[in-house]
Amino acid sequence: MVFVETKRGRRRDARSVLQYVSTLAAGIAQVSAKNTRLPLCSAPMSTHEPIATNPLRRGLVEDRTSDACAVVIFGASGDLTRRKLMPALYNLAWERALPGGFAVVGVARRDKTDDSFRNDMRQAVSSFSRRKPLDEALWADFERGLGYVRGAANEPATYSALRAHLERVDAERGTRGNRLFYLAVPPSEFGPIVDGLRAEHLVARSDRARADGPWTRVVFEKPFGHDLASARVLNDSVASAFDESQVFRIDHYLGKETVQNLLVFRFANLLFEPVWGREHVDHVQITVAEDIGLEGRGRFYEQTGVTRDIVENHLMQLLCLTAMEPPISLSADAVRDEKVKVLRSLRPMERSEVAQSVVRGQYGRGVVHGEEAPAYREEPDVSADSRVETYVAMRCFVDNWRWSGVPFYVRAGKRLARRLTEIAVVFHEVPRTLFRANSPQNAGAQGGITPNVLAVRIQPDEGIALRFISKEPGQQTVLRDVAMDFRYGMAFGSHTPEAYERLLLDAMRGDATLFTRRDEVEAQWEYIDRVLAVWANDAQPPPIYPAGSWGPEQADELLARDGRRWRKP
Amino acid sequence: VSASPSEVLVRMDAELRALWSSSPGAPEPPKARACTRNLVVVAGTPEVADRWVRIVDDVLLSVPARAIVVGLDLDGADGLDATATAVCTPSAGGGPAVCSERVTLVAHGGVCLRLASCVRALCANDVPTTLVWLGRVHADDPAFAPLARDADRIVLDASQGSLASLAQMVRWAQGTNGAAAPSGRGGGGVPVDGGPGVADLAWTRLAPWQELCARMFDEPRLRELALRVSRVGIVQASSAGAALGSEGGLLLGWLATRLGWKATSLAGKLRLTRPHEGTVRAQLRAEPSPDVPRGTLLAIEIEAAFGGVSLHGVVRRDEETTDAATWKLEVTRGADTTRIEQRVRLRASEPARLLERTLRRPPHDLALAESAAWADELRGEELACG
Repeated sequence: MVFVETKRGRRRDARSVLQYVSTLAAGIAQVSAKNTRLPLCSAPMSTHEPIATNPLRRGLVEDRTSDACAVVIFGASGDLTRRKLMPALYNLAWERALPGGFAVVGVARRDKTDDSFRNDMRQAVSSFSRRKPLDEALWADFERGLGYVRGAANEPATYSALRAHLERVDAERGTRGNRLFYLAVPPSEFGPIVDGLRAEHLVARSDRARADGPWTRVVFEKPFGHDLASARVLNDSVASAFDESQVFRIDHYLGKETVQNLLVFRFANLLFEPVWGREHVDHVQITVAEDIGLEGRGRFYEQTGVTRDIVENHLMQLLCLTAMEPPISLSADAVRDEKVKVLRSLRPMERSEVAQSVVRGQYGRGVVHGEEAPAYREEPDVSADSRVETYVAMRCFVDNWRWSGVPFYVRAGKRLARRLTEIAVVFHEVPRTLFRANSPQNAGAQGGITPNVLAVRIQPDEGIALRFISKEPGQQTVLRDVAMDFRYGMAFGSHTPEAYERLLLDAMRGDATLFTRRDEVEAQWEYIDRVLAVWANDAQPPPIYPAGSWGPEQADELLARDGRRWRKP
Repeated sequence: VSASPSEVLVRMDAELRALWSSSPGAPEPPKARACTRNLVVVAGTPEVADRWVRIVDDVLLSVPARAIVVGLDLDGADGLDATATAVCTPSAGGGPAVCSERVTLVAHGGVCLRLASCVRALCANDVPTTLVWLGRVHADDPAFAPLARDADRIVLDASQGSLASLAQMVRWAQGTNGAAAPSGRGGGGVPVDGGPGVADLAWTRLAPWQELCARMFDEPRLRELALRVSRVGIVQASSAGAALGSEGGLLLGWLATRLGWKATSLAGKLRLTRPHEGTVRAQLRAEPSPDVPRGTLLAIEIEAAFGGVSLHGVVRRDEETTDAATWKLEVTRGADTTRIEQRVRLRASEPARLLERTLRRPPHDLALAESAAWADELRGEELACG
């Protein structure tokens, strides 16, 4: 039996906890007003005082919408736009989360008209939206706001054409000069686009300084840099045009419901926080496993490898959310401050340490889901003698009071046995067992008592499982490893918004909590750079592991040396 | 099953257990039980309860619960009929089917007054209980009161009952009307923990309308106009001369409590005054609309003007696709007029989706409490369709 909500328990995500508190506070204020016979409405007493908030927004609980704005997508003919961004925007329209004044402007090199762009996007939304079939009337309204500007990132004419288009959109669609620039392009184009926007005066300086004025925000897709030096160059370039409050570096993992729930799970439940540290936790395992290969991204992968593609961003973020201290509030900076503290607490990997604590690998031929899979070096656009890693496992330490001495074993790879992302917190063994072993095989393992494990499954089967020991029914005391298993799909149904829907709406609303800040990105690179530097001088190719396995044997040895082993979830 | 209530309950308990026991000889597809709450749905007649069984089964697919659907047969001979079943959703990933439990009860005669003890015996432990009461309700109703005492949340439908009963339940839940409260909960009729949350299906139906009204004043330069509304027009599905319905009343109450309007009388006619100066002209219009229930909100129109800027906003439900609407905003500054038009979904109004959304809303809603109280006070000077 699975009970996922306790009596009087209320489900809330992290942000709604804060909203709920605000609502309560507003309620108390209103009750006070009622008692003193003041008007219920918080109307300003002077008509010359500007109203800070829309009085009709007070207490609205069901809907989140943004200011009127135009979303400008650079890379509008790319895969990300077709598969993720446009379906996400359409789904937001379906949810009535888009403002009345709204437009999307696609920018790309390909020669297209507004109409052909709309047709392409219609096909993309029909194929990739989670809302099927397409709502024709809704689409007809949505596509009226779609426009296209042809141009290359490094051509000044692109930006003058864009400026003219946006001015027209402001007048026709009521977007009020608010712009969200979404850079769905390779990092090499970030700099030229930022320069082009600045040169054409398309960047309103800071939305902090002009809270009610037109705002400009910019969203960058990962990877944000290739190493620490390139990330700094990019950050400097971005900072020359945008204030940090206007910059939204996207890591779509943070848009996943289960990742957001980590904060709620940790900081809205008293039960787990007291045992969340070195006193009770033996070690933590974080796994980001993919069963797929390159899917046509050979050229990209040859430049990145799994460390830059997954570890530097997704995996580091999961580690931060697992290890961070409670933030003082749920404001974007309060949460990100705590994550940065974790990154700065990571024990730097010395050169000699890399060989001991990091294992890399590359997949060879194998069998995945019953199908023969080629080796990495046999994939299209991959060098026949490539030394790029498709698997990495690391032992990290967070050198702070809470986590001192607790290893965090992290691993990520392609063509592994199955697709899985999870965080597993493995607790200490009991200090002394009272029970005899179930069988001779268990005689040495604390009488068959395996440690408790709390596993947070990010994907698939999103949920949380707590493994513990129970007595089997019967005359004898026979111990059995069992799990309390909470599954999101069972408790809340399957209507979970896509990560991009949440993140796009957050960016339009100016909420940066689920985006990475400059110092976070640089701290992530600083840690990873040391590993990459050692590998750059290592002539040895990475060990080969069979596709469909759980990685190279050396990864097992990494844990075996510490008397531990990987979970085989 | 038809026997004495206690025998029926024992059998139900056994049937519920049997749903989850596996018989060794007959291999069945694996299924997992999920339960996040008790969902007790009470209808005034067995026929209405029967109609709601399908709706509840639909809700259980996304809100796993132990559902207890009750039909009241007040005039029958004392007795209790019951059935139990599992409502399962096949797993998308090939895992076990996810199943809720649904018990259907028909309480006859005097058992209606002892219904709460029957329901209590069937509720799952340690999960919150939501009571959905279909139809009119009064806090002193002996069938309702003990069930309400056990509930963490009460869901009503003002469009089926009345604004008065909704307002009364809200007052009771807030503990501000102890005399009318069912005795027992927390002693002296004052609810503990602030009382159960009160939700309303008509209020949930209004949520998109509220959001669409709010977005008329989102632009910072237009916020001031929210305090300068000069006219509000409400169009509802009804015949001429009908009184303002629950949806329209709640929406007007919501606008009034957000914007500080007071309801007063002038020569026997309703007059809405703004907090600082000026009045708001409230107009109600009726339109026949065979595709939606009587009293359904069809349109709202808002006008405001201040400092050389005037605003005219309209939300109108589509005639053909009644779950969609067109939102229009016209803003005039001097000689310049800006018009924005957007087609929007109003969210499905079918009962299952509406109940699901209601269950997902925060349990306590101060705006509902204020709006219901305001609208209830209009009873003496009702708006009639012109």
